[in-house]
Amino acid sequence: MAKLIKSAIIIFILLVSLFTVSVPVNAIPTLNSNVDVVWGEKDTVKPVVPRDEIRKLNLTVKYKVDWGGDFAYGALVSYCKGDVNALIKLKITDYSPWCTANLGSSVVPTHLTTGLAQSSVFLNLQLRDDAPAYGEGYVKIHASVPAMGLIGGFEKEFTLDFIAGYLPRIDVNLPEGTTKRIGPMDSAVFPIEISNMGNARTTVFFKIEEIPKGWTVAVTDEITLGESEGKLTAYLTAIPPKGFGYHYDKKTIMVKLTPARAEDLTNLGEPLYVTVIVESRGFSTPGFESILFIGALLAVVLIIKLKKKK
Amino acid sequence: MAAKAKPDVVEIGYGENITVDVGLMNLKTGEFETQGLPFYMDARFLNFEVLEYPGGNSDGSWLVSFNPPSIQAKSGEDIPLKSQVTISLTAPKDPKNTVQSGILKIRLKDIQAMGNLWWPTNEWKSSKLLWFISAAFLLKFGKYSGTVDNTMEQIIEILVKVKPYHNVRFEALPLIQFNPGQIASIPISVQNLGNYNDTYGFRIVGDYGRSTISDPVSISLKPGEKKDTFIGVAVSPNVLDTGTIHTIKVEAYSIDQPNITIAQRTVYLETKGLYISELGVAGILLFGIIAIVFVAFFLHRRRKILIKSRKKPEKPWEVSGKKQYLEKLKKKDRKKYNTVLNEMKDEYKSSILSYNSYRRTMLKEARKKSLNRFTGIFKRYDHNEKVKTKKLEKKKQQISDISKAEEIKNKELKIESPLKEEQIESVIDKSAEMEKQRREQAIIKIQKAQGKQRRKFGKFNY
Repeated sequence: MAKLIKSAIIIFILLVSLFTVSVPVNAIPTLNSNVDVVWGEKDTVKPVVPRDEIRKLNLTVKYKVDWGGDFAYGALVSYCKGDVNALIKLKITDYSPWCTANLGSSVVPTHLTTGLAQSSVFLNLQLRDDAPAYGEGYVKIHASVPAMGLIGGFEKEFTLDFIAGYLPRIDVNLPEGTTKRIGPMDSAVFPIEISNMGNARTTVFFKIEEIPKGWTVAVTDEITLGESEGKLTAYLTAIPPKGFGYHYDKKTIMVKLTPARAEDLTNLGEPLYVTVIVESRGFSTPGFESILFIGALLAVVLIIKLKKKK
Repeated sequence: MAAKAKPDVVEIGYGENITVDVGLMNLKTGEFETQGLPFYMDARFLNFEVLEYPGGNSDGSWLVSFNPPSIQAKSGEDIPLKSQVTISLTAPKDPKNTVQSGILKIRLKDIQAMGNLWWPTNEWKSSKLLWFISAAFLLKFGKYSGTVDNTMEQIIEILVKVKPYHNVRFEALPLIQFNPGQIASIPISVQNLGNYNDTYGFRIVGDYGRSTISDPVSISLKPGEKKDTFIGVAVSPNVLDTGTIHTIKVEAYSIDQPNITIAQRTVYLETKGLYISELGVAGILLFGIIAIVFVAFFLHRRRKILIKSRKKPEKPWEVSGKKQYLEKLKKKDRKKYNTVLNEMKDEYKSSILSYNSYRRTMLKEARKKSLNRFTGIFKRYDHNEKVKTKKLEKKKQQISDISKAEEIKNKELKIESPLKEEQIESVIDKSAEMEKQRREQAIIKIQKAQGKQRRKFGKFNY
């Protein structure tokens, strides 16, 4: 009896050894989940406008089961027949500090197939005012699939990159007020302080809306402000008519300020307006009155001298 | 188990509210789960609560309510495992605490209470022994019998975009006084009550006649920030303004929505005072100079005429000789003294009357003469000459009348006065004085003429 038991054990070991040797390695049932998250490039290449835009990015979640060997494939087929869903869990783990992001759904159920299964989920993106224009932002999405029986689990992090748009915003200040009274021989100069409150280097174009008849009005053509709180001063100069005689000219001068991104001057913002009042009052002399005065003085001196000689 | 929100992105503005459905998701359909109480449970509750508000909720701007706040699964009845969330947003008390876009996080707690899992429920149709073996040995779910599981929870995230809220507050301004013709900038303090960095433009509404008012300068403000902008005012130059109140209406708008007025403020101005322009001052000066010249000329001419005529009579009692005589008389005979003094006074009165009448006549003649000269420039007719001669004759006549009247007066004085000799002397003195004056004037004229001639000849004497 003991011999019989011994021989049975040896035969079992032999059979197991034979099975192990005869069956190829790749025939061992290895099943692993594989997830890929992709998105349309068009959606991310176009800059996201801070504050006003909510960008809805359509994420395509691709799922397939990688198998090794015929036995594994057989096992997968049997799983698929069982109407089993793979639960792909998505989670936003990190994003740029100046943006807000959420997913339409945190779980994407995908039906198991032997091929590639696709599902879609939306990623919503919104940027704050201080997002740097054309600065690169990111959203990190963690995708995971828990293990299901023989099918192994999966875990991977995807990084979605996008570009922030330009938000033009400038502040205008006239430190010397908006009114000036001058004589007809003088000129009124208004310093205009411009601050950049936008999110990129900004060029500001100045344009005089309407020049009053007979007046000469000049303004700085353009100035380029540095990023974040850059401040520069432009000058508006108004010269009134100088015709001989008494003047009482009161005019309103309007200047249009249009901000544009310094690197792309076609990217314009909403214009701002500055209106000033200049009053020219007083007598305008011909200009050679000083020469006349000096001449008269000389004549008087000469007459006195001549008289003294006599 | 998974949860979802529908919609997962919402937009809300200040003073608005929106509703969103949140609940458990059916993994097969992707829709909200509709389910009854599973046979192995005694009870199941779904509780909803807000975990995180967009940008925080320190001053209670967010108000989120669930309807129903808790769902209880019912046995034998399928109910949707979802709740309706109402999100309300109000403007924060402090405008510096802005409410901007963010994530609203809702926690869904799934509380499950298991029944007696050792013994099969009524729904179990198979062998009771098999249930027991499974509960005890195979699946070992028996150990959950009578337990309550409150650890299961789902986090639902809703992206809430807060609409830009454009609002400003104008600081109140007191009544501002202006003089006519004054030009100045009035500062108006503006505070951003909105929730984002905003740029505000301003427009002046209404017609202000001859006064010029410029639109305040556009300004950009951070939430809660306060800054000054300026209204340019150039008041019309009314010559005299006793006090007029002007109202200037200022409207504010965001440059993102230029057609929508978000705030309005009325600024009150009072114009009061007198306005004289440089041109006016020059005119007044010119007029003054002309007037002074005219008056000086008039006075000079008048003086000249009066000098030509005769000297104003002196008071007889102040003439040195008579004064001494009166003093003596005063000491000797008081009564006589009074009589003589009265007579002197009467005499003086009469001579003054005579002098005034003479002066008037002379001035009248001079005026007529100058008028005739003036009109003569335009009208040079022959009959004017006749008129002149007639006037001259008249003048002579008047002068002779005056002299006659004087003679008569002198005679009367001689008859009436007890001091005949003295009166005669005074009359002689007067005529002598007049003669003396005439001579002096003639001498002066001759001297002037001589001086002129000397100067003329002197030019050629090198």
